[in-house]
Amino acid sequence: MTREAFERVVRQWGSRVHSHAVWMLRDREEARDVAQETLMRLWKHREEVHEAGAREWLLRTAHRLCIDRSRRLSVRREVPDGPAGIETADPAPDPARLADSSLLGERLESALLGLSPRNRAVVLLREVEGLGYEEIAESLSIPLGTLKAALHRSREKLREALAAEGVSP
Amino acid sequence: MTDRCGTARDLAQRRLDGERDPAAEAALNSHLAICPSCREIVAGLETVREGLRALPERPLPGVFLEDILDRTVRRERERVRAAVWAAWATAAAAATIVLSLILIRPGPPEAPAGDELARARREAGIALSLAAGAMREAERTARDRVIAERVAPALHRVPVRWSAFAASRKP
Repeated sequence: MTREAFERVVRQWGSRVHSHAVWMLRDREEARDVAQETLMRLWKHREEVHEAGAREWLLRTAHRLCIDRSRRLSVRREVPDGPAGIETADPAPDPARLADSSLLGERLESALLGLSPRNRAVVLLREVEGLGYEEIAESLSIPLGTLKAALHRSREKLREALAAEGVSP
Repeated sequence: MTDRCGTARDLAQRRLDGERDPAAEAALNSHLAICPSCREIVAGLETVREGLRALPERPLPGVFLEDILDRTVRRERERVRAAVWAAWATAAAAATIVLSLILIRPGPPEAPAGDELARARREAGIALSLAAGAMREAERTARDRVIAERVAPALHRVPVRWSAFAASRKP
């Protein structure tokens, strides 16, 4: 990957990496560190990574870093600085706002916290990032059947969480 | 929830996974047509999927992106640029030295004219005569100094000793 390609990748996917880290870690400072470290690692390995596959490489690397960090941060459960923070959902929302997609997003982010880190990663990598099943299974080192079962359970749990919050289709 | 509800929800999950089986699709649709509970659940699962796909991105602040580019691409560019400049400077210095050696190299000496040669010989003779005179003068001065510093005091002491000897011989 050339320097120009690296710059394009950073500008194009840097925020996706950061978003994944935010949703995984629930700590924006740590998420920024993960995003930076991931991008610096890409620079280090730029000779081995093609631009076309950079996004998957970045997400895999970011995910591994998130897992490492989440072990260290296991006692921290708050996002300290975010109006769009995952834990800031309005406890008594106006029903009219429930149809608002941004509120749905807030509720979903909040519901994601109820998933285990592995299941959260499964949902994010599949439903948000759109990675293939085989790729996710390889990244998370789990069998394909286990991955699909985890995904089904996680969808159901998120649906129940939204229904409990009053978000209905 | 009946067994058919369980099967339908499983089929709905598979449909969300991207599996496309016309027979399973038909079975799911016919069940949803008669089961409001499953219809609501499947709609809820689809809402979850749509909501996840529409999650707003959390942009990495521009200052962080720029910092990364500073530490990687731009630093590398500066390094390459500096290396190129150093190479050019070295080449320019080498070229300057080579050109200087070519342009400043002295040519063969010119042959002197006949009168210049005669004059040079005369002047050389005068210089040699002066040098010989100076040598003689220096030799004389040195000899005088030796006499003055060593012999004269010795001579000065002789009369004293002689006087003393003479005095001792007096009755």
